Amino acid sequence: MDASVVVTGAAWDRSDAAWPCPTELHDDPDVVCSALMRSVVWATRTARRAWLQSGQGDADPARAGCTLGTLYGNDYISEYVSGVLAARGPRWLNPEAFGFAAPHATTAAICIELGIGGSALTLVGPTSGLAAVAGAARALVLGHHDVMLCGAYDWPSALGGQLYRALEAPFTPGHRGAAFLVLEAGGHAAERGARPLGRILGWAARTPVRAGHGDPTALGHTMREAARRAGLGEGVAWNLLDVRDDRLRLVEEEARRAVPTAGGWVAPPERDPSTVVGPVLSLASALASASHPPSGRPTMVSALGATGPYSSLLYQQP
Amino acid sequence: VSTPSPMPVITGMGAIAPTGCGIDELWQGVMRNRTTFAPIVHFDASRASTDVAGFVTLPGCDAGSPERLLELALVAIRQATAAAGLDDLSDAVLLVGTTDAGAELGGWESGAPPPCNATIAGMLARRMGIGGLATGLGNASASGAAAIALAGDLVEAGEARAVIACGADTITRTAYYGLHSLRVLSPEGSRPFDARRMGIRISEGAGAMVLEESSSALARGAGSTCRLAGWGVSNRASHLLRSSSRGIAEAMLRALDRGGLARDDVAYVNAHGAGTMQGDAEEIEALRDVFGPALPAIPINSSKPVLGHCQGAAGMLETIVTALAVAHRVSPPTYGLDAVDPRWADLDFARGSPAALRPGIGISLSSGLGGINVALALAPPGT
Repeated sequence: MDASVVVTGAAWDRSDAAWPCPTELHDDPDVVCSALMRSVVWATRTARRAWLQSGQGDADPARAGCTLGTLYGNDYISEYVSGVLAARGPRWLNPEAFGFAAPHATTAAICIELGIGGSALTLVGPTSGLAAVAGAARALVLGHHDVMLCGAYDWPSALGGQLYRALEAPFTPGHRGAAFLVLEAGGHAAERGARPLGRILGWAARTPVRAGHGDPTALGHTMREAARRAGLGEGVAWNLLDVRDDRLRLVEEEARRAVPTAGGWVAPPERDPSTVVGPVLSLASALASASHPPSGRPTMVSALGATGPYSSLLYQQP
Repeated sequence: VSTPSPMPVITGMGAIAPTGCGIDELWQGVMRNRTTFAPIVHFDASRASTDVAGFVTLPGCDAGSPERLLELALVAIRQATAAAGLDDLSDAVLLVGTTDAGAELGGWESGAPPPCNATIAGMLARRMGIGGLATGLGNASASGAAAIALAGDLVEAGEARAVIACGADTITRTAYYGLHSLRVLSPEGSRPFDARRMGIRISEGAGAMVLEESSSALARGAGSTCRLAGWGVSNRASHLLRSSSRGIAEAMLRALDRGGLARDDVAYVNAHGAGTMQGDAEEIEALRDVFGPALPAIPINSSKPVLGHCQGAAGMLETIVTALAVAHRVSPPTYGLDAVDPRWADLDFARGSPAALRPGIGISLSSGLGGINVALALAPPGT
């Protein structure tokens, strides 16, 4: 049996679009709900592109799952509730809105829209995007599902931007980003004749206690662990995907010197500044680009966040 | 721990809930209906249908304190790791489920966001010296249970020898009025399966458990309360605000299938049992689908009349209750059940008094907004 994990779909979207929930909408029940939903609708639309590209229209709902990562998630709903409650005079909360308050609401909306009925987890944190991809790959390796939609999304408000800044993550006001991959058990993909964009080889994540934010030794350790889990023998070289977070780039550059098998940099076609979405978006765009791999080597993509997590994931294109 | 198994064993548990601080307090609370419900005073709750909620006692940290979420989780995690005898956490994984967005607490502009779903796992990892993957889970009311399911995956995959799963939540104005807007807050408290049930009572609390790869636990001589014998997650809904019996049934079947368990193995169900009209009906329909004519012989219990709905901590605390129930072979009573919904008159809800359990598996069910369902199967040690 083919126990590999392959990627059969990839889609992303990023732009500096206006934030969908201006506070002046609080008093207008006709528009507040649709305004609040814009983020969910946009993420769902992007996920659908990956799903359809993978040819999953007829996927068995019970054998398909979803794992997403986000940092700010749908916390703007809490902002909306807070804003309404703090206002003077009569106040009215849109009951539909609260259903979207949990970060999981976006995951759930995607599951409903695409007919995904299996496991659905929503990870929240500074490197949750890459952790979500790893989680999806894990679910396939364990045989729990045949197909997993995974990825990351974020469309922070001004308050969400403060969270990003507090976590030392690059942030552009109004910026939104989403990236989704469709992972599939290799045997399942082969059976239906799907053309893999790449293979997920291994992954690792750590929150080293003594390492601060941006510790090259800690990142090097995570990279080596991902390579070990990928079953790469000593001396097998791999490249590094340049996700162009300046801080990560510097840390990776230092980590690279400490890891003998770390090779050169590979520039993905698209980048995003978010520590949550950025690595997944770079990965998605690299996988979708047939001309991307210059050497045929495995490639490592990494993420780090201010509260200490380091994540690395190794993939290879055909 | 008797024999090595690919399924994780639970080597330590911790809880702080309206029943008190500690596992014993939790168990005695759900057995004897000892709990703390009180009026909300840390924000104006007068415009909601009720102003009563379930509180924990946490000296030095008021209900409205920005640090309360972190402190609750710390209490539970410290209890769990101490009970597990797990001193070296440098390779342990930490998964924290919460619904708390932190948006109303302020302080973000100063560059120091409060503990919330985006930051709490990293903050706790630093405080506790936890060095493996640390991430939050935002799976609504099923967050704590989802943390246990993910822990199962990590141990089964061999990626972690020890995982600390935690669920924690406080009572925030946002959640309170958000739930009020959905008209699910009941002035009478939660009365699951009762014909006149009106909804939930919101509570705060935290629970934690240490799940370990069994041979690793065995090697260091750790005992276990229970074994995580199976787990299943589903997200099957037609609407974000409406749970589905099919989804709940699929989560249960997945948990049984993963553990190689037969339906006859199940001796107890700790239901999500929130006490909402729709949610309870979907859950019982799912149980009937899975267990068929055998269901009346399986005690079904809800802890929510005593604990309240502890939001992101609910699934964790109720899984701990399930572990204790199968270990003690007794189902706590379902309190607040005056008149069973006539559709379910044939079922055993352990109404008013504890029910003895035959040896077997306990199932803990958790559901959340969005259609998420988590089923966790707990087996006593040595089975």
